[in-house]
Amino acid sequence: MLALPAAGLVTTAVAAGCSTALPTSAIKPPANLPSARTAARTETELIARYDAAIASHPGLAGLLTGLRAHHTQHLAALVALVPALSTAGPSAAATRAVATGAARPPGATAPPADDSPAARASALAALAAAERTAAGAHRAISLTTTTELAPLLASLYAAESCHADLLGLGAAG
Amino acid sequence: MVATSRPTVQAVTAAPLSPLGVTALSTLLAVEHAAVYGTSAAGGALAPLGAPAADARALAYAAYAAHLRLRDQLTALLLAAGAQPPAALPAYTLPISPGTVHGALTLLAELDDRSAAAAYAAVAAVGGGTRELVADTLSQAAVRAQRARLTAGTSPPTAATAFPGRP
Repeated sequence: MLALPAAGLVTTAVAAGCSTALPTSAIKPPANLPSARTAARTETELIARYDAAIASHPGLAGLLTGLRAHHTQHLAALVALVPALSTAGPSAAATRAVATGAARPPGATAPPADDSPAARASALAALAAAERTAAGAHRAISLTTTTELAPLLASLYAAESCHADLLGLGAAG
Repeated sequence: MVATSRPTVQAVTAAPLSPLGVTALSTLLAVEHAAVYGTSAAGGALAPLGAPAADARALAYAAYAAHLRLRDQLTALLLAAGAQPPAALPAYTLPISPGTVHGALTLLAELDDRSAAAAYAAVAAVGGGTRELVADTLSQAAVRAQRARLTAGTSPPTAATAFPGRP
């Protein structure tokens, strides 16, 4: 899976006529690409969850739109740090689509579902649980990844922990 | 039981520290000394304010306990690595006066934001169990700062920050 983007980059580099004195980083995928890709996937999935929740519960849009915006910023920060994310790998298209706001989850056009207070509370609780899971995933990566990526992942761990806390308070009323 | 004057490290295996790691943890410890002082001042200022200050008092106490624990853990880590941990100053200038409930909550948020920033800066400088401590510090400080902002009346999406700790 990693070989494909590497081969693609080499081909591009050779075709551009710079086959000599290429920095190694331009040929090999960066060491932190798998970590960054996992983190980007986590963010993309969270954004899809927010889109579905906002579509079902318009009354929660004020809160949820603000938190969703953090996740698009997280994705953009990952791409800024590991540019190979946006040019390589199967999730690149999805990452780009979400980052530019082009992605629309299937549920977004469906008529609003049960928007009762109880349904809203359970939607907030479900999002809180998803944020907590994401926080744990980011934490795990931050402990083992490169020194370049670790601070950002630790910050994303903190951000998702904050979101989980906020949503948990909202779900409790 | 033999009494020991040195704080013990809880759940953190003392890993070898690089010079960068020593500097980063020392900076974080200096921030924690100030946070222990500041959260204690906030708690003291809130003590006579009665029932309306109850939530803020609970936050101040929780923050004080957390910063005290972290101060001891960092001191023990630095001693174990053969470094000289920075001592607390006799007093600190508080960035915000805790004389009102709102002021105390704003001070608590500010102290935890500073703690989160110092933890963020230390992440890349340490590894192993020490990085775990630093990453958890960043997350817990960010959550406490957010709770303080919420309790101070900041609207929920504004109380959350996209990149806690990041400059």
